[in-house]
Amino acid sequence: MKKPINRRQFLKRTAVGALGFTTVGIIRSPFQTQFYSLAQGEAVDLTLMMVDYSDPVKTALEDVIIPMFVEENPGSSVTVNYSDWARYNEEMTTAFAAGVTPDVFQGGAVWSPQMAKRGWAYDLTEHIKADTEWNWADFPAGLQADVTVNGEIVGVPYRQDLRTLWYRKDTLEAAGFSAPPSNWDEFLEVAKATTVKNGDQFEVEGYHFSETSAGWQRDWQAYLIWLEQAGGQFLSDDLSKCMLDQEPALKALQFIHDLIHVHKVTSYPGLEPQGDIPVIVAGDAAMQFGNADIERNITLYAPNQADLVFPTLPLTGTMQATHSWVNKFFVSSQSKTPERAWDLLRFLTRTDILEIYSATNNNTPPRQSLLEAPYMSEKHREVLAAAPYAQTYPQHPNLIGLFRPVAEELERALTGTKDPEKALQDATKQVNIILEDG
Amino acid sequence: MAVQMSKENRLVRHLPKILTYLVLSIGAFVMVLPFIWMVLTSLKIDSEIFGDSLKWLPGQLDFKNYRDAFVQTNMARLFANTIFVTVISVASQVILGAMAGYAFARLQFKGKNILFFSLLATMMVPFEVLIIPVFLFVRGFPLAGGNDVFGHGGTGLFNTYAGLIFPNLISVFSIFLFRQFYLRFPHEIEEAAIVDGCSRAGVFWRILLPNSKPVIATMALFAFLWSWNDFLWPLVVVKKDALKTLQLGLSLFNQEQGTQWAELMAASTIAVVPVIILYLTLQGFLTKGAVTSGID
Amino acid sequence: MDVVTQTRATKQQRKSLGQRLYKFYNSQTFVAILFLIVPVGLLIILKIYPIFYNLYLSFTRYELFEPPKYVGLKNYRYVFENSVTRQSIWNTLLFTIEAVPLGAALALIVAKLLDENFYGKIMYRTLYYLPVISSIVVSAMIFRWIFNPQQGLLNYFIGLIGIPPQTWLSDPNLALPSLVMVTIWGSIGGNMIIFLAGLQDIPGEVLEAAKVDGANALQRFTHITIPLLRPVILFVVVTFTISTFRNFGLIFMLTQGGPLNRTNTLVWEVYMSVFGNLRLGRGAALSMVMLVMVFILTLLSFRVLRERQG
Repeated sequence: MKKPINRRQFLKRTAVGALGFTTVGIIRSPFQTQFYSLAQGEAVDLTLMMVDYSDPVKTALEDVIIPMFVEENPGSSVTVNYSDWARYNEEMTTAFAAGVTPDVFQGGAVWSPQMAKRGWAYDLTEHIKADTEWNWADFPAGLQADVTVNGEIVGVPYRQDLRTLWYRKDTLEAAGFSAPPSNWDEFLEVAKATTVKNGDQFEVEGYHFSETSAGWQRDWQAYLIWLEQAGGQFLSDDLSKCMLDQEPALKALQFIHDLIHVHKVTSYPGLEPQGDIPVIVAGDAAMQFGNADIERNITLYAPNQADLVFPTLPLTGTMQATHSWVNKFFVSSQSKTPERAWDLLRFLTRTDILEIYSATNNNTPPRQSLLEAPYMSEKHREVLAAAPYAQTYPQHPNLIGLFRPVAEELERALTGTKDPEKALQDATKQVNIILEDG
Repeated sequence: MAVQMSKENRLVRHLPKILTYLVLSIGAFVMVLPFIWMVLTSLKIDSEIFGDSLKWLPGQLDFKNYRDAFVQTNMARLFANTIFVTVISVASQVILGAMAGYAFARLQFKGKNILFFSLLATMMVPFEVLIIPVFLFVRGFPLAGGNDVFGHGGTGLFNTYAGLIFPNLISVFSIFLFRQFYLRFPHEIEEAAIVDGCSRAGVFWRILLPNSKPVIATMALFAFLWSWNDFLWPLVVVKKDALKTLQLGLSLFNQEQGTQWAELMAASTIAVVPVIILYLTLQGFLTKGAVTSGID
Repeated sequence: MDVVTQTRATKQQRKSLGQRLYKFYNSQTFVAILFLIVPVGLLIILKIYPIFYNLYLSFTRYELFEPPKYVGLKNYRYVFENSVTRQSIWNTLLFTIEAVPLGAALALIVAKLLDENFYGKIMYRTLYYLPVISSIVVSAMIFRWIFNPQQGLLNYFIGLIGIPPQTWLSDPNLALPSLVMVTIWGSIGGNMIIFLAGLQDIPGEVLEAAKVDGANALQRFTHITIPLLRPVILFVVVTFTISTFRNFGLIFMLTQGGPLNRTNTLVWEVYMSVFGNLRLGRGAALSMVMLVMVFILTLLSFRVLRERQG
């Protein structure tokens, strides 16, 4: 009979194993995303933080894009770190507070004025103006304006996150609608007709309300589109006052409040996606607002739904409108080698590289020359058709701080614990206090 | 017992035991069910998870989720980092705790009691309360990460293993535990050694420490659990993937994957199984230690 | 006076420099300094200095990139006047009140049942201990799945007894109780081990004597075991209270302070003030409030559990 191992031996072996494992792991991880060039020259290690990515993007970055950069820039190496929008604010704030920011990092729609005010974004104006080959003129004026704060260019757009109405053709047809709705009244009619419930439980939501990935900004982002369609705006044009106590803002909130509590065509906070498959693609909703990610996820995870889910133009309330979130790359003001960091940013937003990234992630590209790129499918062009109706955020340096009280009040109104009008008044009051505080 | 008991009597006599088993089993089921559900989910495919009715068993034995979770979380790296940080933290807490415990239990010096009780009082202070000053201290650690002697100009211990480990180097609880143990340790052995010409430091290293195995085991278990499960501090101090610990990596994976339940549960299983195996192997030893050292 | 060193000293009247050095090296004070300098130094850096520095910061406006500016009690006024921070104080208390008594009681019952000698005792103990070694992050991940409104296990079980499905973590009234549930589930094992150690220190003769006097099992438990166990109960209540105050991981993983701020506890509010909004002064004031609350609750536990004795 084989002698069983006694405890001492087991411990010894475990310890030796763990030690070896640790040493090997720390010295050289098999999955470490670092790429070294063998060429001679000053070694510069750049770090890049990605927030906007999917699994294929990770692969494309690590197998194609970064190796290409290293080849073109001998002596450089790039370490890629990944983050998530839901924790972006805390992560970047801590990183800046500690002085350990990545050299190049992605940022969302609110961040140009905020980074500029805090002095966290490296001023790229000189570099960009001097670089005709890279061609800044290729970016639409609206996107250029979004990253220009007080005359300084602080970032470079890599994506227009353009959201429009998506619908399920099969569900709508089954309910007797041959075309998607174009205004609020038609929308409500379709939503009522397509909702399927089992008791209090939703089986199909006529309208799927929110995207879960936006964290605490979820309700705000969902509301914003309706606000803009109602002809309202968040801040006055001179950024001195909150406009959420105005008539259009209330009209929009009352409308979505009623979708939940009166017409009961959507649940709050909404059904969940099935893994990578968005709610509407899984057949759990008839309509939802969304960007081209929906198409990407269909292609990757549910190709059999490709002929059933389509985008259409944004709805008309008082006016036809939607929102575009402009995402961009920044160079950190804390970078020790800002020149080399710019090289990396320039490379990443060069037409050919941006095309690889955009195609892999199915992003709506920020360069006009890419709008006709081969990967831009018919559906994607349909999303792009919403661009003329799109509005962007006002350039206030503390948007995140302003959104917080609004998000809380919206949550109160949408859960039905506070009257929408009262909620908006309270939100306005709190936002105005912050605006006055400066 | 001479008198033969009737059947009924026997049932009455065994009733408490049966009830005990019943209550304990229900409780244990509640305790373990989440883990069983975790493992079952980790083996399922999406259509089984999102089906209309709840399905208990996976229809196949497919370890694809494990493979994906392992690669996507960079699990090998997470484990390596965590083991490294934990081993150093545990060793440091045990050795420093034993040294201080010895000094407080066996040596006479001025201000001993005041010092000990003021340290003991800090046991009430949760680490989370002090995170701002510790954060600032670690950022301004002199002569590290490009800092000058006064701690200016650089990033201190941020984004380093040292920064990750630093707040876990010492625990008051460890000092307390060792002090209690050494207070009861027989004086004769120590005195005999000193007569034989052994120095005080020598007495500690050669006699007391080797005879403290039960406390060491207890303390090691606590320190292991604290360090292994540490979450807030790594979240604050680590900003690059290569340094992430297991808990941090898992929590971020949880956030990024959202509703990829099968992969999330596979990652949880991978993270938890080694610890359970380690615990099962050591548990006899550990509980003996916990009991004999007595937390009083 | 140390007898051993004295006799050694008289034996050797003339001491060389080396011997004198050795004597100094071996003196109690020196060894104490040698042994304490590192641990005490670290504790001063990590525990004592931070308390005072935190107190100082709580009276300042500090946004990290400019030096702290003294603002008096402004941060404290904010903490007690702002509805969100006030709610976070209340949530913290509520969390503790809901989790600690019930969790400690369950752990005590389990420990008492496991204190007998019977077959499978070790197995049961291990099963109850599993949640403790599995870590908060893993527990939270599993429970996020169990709480899932559509495919979750919990809704399946309550469906079996006819209760309609709930949205647990996104329901303002159920979010905090859900977190309490996970906390209790995760803490029973650890507290049980401490209770078991305490139970084994209770002399068997006392219980035997009571049995002879005709006390039944329940009476023995309430009249003998619990009073004798009081220091251990105190220890568990205090450590458990502190651990509920520190419960950051669960909130980060499961609710992020929502819905409607119902799970926004002090520790979460500190984290958001400091690392979300860079208000270090405000965060420090919140920390000090948290610290005072821990002290008050600890003192209260001492009072309550002491008075029962008299």
